[in-house]
Amino acid sequence: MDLIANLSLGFATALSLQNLLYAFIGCLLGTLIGVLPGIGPVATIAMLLPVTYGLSPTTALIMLAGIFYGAQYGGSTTAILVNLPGESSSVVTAIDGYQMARRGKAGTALFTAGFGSFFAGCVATLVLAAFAPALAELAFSFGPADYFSLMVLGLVGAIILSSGSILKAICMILMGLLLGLIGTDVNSGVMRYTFGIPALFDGIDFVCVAMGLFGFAEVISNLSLKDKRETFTNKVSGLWPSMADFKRMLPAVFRGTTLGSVLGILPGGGAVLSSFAAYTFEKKISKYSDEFGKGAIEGVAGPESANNAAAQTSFIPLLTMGIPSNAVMALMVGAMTIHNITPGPQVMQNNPELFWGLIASMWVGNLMLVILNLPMLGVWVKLLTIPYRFLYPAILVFCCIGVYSLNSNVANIYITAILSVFGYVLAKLGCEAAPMLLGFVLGPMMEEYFRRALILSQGSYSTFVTNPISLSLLVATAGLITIMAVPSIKKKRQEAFQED
Amino acid sequence: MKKTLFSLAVSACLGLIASPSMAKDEWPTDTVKIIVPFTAGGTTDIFARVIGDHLQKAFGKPFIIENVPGAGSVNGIAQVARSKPDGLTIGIASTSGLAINPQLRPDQVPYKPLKDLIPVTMFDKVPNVLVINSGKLPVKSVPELIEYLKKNPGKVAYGSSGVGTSQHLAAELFQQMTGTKITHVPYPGSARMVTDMIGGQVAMTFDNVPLLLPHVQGGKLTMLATATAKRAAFDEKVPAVAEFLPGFEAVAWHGFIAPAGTPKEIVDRLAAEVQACMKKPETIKKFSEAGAEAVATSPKEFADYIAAEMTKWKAVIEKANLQVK
Repeated sequence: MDLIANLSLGFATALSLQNLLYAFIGCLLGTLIGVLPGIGPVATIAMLLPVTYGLSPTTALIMLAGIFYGAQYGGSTTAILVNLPGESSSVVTAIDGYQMARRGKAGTALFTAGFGSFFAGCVATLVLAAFAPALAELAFSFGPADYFSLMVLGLVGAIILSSGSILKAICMILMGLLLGLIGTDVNSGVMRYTFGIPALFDGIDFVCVAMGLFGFAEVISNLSLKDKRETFTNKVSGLWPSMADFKRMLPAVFRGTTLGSVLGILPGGGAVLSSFAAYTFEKKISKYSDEFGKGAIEGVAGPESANNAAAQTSFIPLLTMGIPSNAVMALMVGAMTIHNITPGPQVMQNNPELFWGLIASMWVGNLMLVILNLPMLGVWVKLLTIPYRFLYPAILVFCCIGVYSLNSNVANIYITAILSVFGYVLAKLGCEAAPMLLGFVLGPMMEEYFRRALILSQGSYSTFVTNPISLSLLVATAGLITIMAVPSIKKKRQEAFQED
Repeated sequence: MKKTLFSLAVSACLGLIASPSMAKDEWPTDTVKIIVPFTAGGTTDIFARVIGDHLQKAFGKPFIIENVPGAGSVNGIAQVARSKPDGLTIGIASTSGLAINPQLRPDQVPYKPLKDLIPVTMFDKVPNVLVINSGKLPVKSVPELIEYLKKNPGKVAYGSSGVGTSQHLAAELFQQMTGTKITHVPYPGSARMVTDMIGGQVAMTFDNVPLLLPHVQGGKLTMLATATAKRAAFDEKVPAVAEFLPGFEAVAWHGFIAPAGTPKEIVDRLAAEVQACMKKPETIKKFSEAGAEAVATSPKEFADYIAAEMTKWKAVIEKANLQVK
């Protein structure tokens, strides 16, 4: 059995002392930033990218992945106890979770979130292990035209599934595409938009964009927020749910896991989308739909399972095709590039210990998170009292050291600073930076594949439609656009994201 | 008081007399920085660290690596050229940074290789090999390939790890020497290119051994020949392209450089010690495991080699009209 042999290689890698330690650090950090509102996993991973320089690529990715799904756990804790979703993917958890806490069932809500996340994490790990190799094999037969069409689908998906205004999302993606074009053209070696500045010859470093738009800008915008908190930290008791609660929770966990696993794989999908989808779905089919918004256990179980499952299955397009489906995965591309690993189907062959080690570490990490989160709740909630006047300067200093160390170049700090101002302006205008980051990563890739497809077809544009894979992907894209244009669905979409 | 002044004056005079030769004898007086124009963790970086370790032990002062990647190694080399020529900053450079890029894109390269830099010693040659996807090309040898390419001009695509790399120019040289026409498909780095080779999107390539060998052994790709002047040490059974095209050689090489003005004595001592390192059996083994051949040259030999390579690639670049304005 290949799967078992591969998984055992993975566990052997993941359970080495060093990897175990870094998985733990990642989960710990993830929980920490999940608990602290304002700082999300994208910002944290961006800040830590340069730090992973000295680690082996496997260890680095294990830690960064740990931050990502750790944040899904931590975010729900504060959502339930303080009504402050630490993470955008736990926004919906706050709706019913907080109500449960107010009714004295904080313990049950926390257990539901933890159990749902753990169950979903286990299933998603298996999904990843089972489907990724087959997909990677398929990816070898993908030509440049197919990749181009797949990325078009991905970008259109990202626009449609982004939570804000469609127009703004399109603008952000285009901005990202433009920023991505700076640097040396792969095909001719000509410099574009560099204005003769040597620091721009290789394009703007991805880490600068990510840190500027997320790390710095988030700190700046958070400074303007005043927070008020009503906590239920002292009232956590009786983690175990009653039998009746358990019976209501279990099917919701199953549904959430399935939904999240599927939505995570989709380009543009991910944790946020799937938690919203799961909540809407549970509300629609539940016998207790009138309880939603007042503390329905399904309203916690469904979205929490879904966001964790999706967080993990969103690694599938990255690890098999080398295409990031959301901003966090775009960061993972950056992390792999730092270590000279080009994401794509060859990763599984050339670096099997990285691929399987990462998958196995997700399961290990999930286990750690359950242990970290349930018994140590009190510690995490205490963290909310750390004054930001200590936290933020520390983050900024850390960021500057990080971008400088990328290639010992001060210009990186300036670029990051400029982008952070830009990021702050975007935040004020209500534009999401995530699609921009995605555009920044996918834009140059799309151009590259587009032009490569044309070189190979001797300049004939028909290569995009004569190729069956490419054609079907383009048809799917057209379908997606058509569906979006239908007025009733347009309205639904707006409703679905209203709670955001 | 008088005595102290006198002794100060004496020691100052002595110092004046002694200092020039002292600097040479006692070099390195401080930590020596080796600028590596590639990212940490890559092959060149690992090689630099192996040699840096040896130098540190031999000279008794720390030799530290600073990675200054970017612009196809031009950034790092430019930094070496700008550094103070006191022997405390040296660097590593390769084919593309010295012999290709300054001629391919003269406007964007802020140094003249043999004017702003002193070659110290070349320490390795990394052979490129000619590999094809036999599902796409029905040929089994170099002559068959040439014949096939002549019958199908422009229809076969080759992949390279980027414009201006030794892999790219190897294929250009091949076309010029055989009078064939192959379509160039550049990739940013080799990894994706190898994937597309396996998938059959591109049919042939000249690239480094370590990257391609696993796929050749796994039967997915076929190695036709090496781009070295003679058969390469890693497999004597594989012919060299030069057996069919006399004079064909396209290897990537690496060497140490120092800023112009660095005292000759320092350059010589450094070169001697790097050569000693390259002759150690464990160094040779480490390099061959990474697909490189350890070499040891004098500063003069390295300078001559660079000059020859510059002439060779200049002609290829001009003939193929590749220069970037």
